Amino acid sequence: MTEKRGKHQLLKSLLVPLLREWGYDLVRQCLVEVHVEHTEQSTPTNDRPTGKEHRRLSASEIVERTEVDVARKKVLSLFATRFDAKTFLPSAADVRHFLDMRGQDPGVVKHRQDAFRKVLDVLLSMPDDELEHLQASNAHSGPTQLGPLADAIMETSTVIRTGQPTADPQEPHESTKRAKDAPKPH
Amino acid sequence: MARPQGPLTVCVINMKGGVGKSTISALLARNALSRRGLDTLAIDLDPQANLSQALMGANYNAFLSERRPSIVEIFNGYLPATPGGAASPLAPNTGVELISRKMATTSSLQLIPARFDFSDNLTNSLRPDPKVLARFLAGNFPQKDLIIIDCAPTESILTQAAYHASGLVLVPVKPEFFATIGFPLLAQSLADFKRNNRGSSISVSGVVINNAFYDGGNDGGPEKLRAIDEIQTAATRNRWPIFNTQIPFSRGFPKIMRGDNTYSGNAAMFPVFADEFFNAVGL
Repeated sequence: MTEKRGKHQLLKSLLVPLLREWGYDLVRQCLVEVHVEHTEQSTPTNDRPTGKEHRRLSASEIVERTEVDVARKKVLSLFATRFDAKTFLPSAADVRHFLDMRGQDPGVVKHRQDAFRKVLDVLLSMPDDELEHLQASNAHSGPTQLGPLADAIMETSTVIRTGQPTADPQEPHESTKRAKDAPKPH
Repeated sequence: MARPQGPLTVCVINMKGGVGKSTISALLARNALSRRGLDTLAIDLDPQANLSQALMGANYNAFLSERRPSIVEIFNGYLPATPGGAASPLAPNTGVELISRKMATTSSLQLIPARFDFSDNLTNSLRPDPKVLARFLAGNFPQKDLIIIDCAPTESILTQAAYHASGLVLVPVKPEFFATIGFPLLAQSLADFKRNNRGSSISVSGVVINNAFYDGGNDGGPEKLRAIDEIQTAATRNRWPIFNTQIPFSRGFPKIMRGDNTYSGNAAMFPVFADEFFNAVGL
């Protein structure tokens, strides 16, 4: 109690010169304003960074800040890099389709970048083998092109029907590589 | 969520090409997983492999180049020998590609893709056993809810294989003269099959009108009306029900099949038909 009274004594001694200078009403009004400002600054909605810091996090940055084991983070970082480079789910519509096909409500996807957190939730839920399969496949990389497909059919047809030896079957086809670089239709 | 009575197997067929069999198969398969949560297997029985290309997208090129197993190996009954090893028997997941899995469930959409050389099975001197597919599915996929088989438009051993594996038939048709020509051929084909396979109870779940007819500002005009009338007459004669929901014309369909999701247009209405279909067949 003694300590509490001591604190009040100190507070009172600080307030006395303020009251003498500005009067009770003005000090009270300022005290209310200061209190409101302080409360607003403490709420989470006002926790946003300002100025240069007020920008969307890249997919890579989001993954970097995600708590997950090192091996998984490495794989997720590859997806994030491809997402940032628009070689994985290149449009907001692709993001919607990807989420929809995995039972995740896409909601309104106004900005593709904003939806990465939902994509990440799906990736985090995948078992390792499925994640590796998705990583290895070119699915969800955007519209397909007839040219690379025709190349793949012709080349594989030659191999199968003539029995000519092929290159390493595990090596992705040249057309597949070209497909990634092919211009995207509108 | 396996059905106690096993998967419902539907073959999508019309003895006429270009009526939308692969598009409808692909969209039904996707819809079954994404909206109904059904554990689904799609099978491409058409050597043109359009269903495979639609569901696998750019990954289909890699599938070809890496020579991954397909429906061809399932019909052959073994994996061919390689320079590094002997021929081997089929595993339960041979030729099965994962398309998508629904989060926090065991339901997925898988595909057994086709390859262009599938047509060689039709021309080779050794006739494949048409019951191979039914046996493979019965042995390896009892837990599935739905199996959708996309058939080629020509009567062949593959058509017989689809009938052996299926309980239901879905018949897409376009409201144009040549499309209805496929009806009598299909009716005859089913009648022949049932006569030769008394144990089969395969039946037509219904006819879906794929309204992919150039609108021209008058909804197809009198020619389309005549075609619709002929479809109704032929369906009634064969006792095939017609689904109430027509699939609308949309430039969105070819885009979606290409893997371009930026525009769906009236294709966004497809779930209306899918709902009617799944309700009708009890899924």
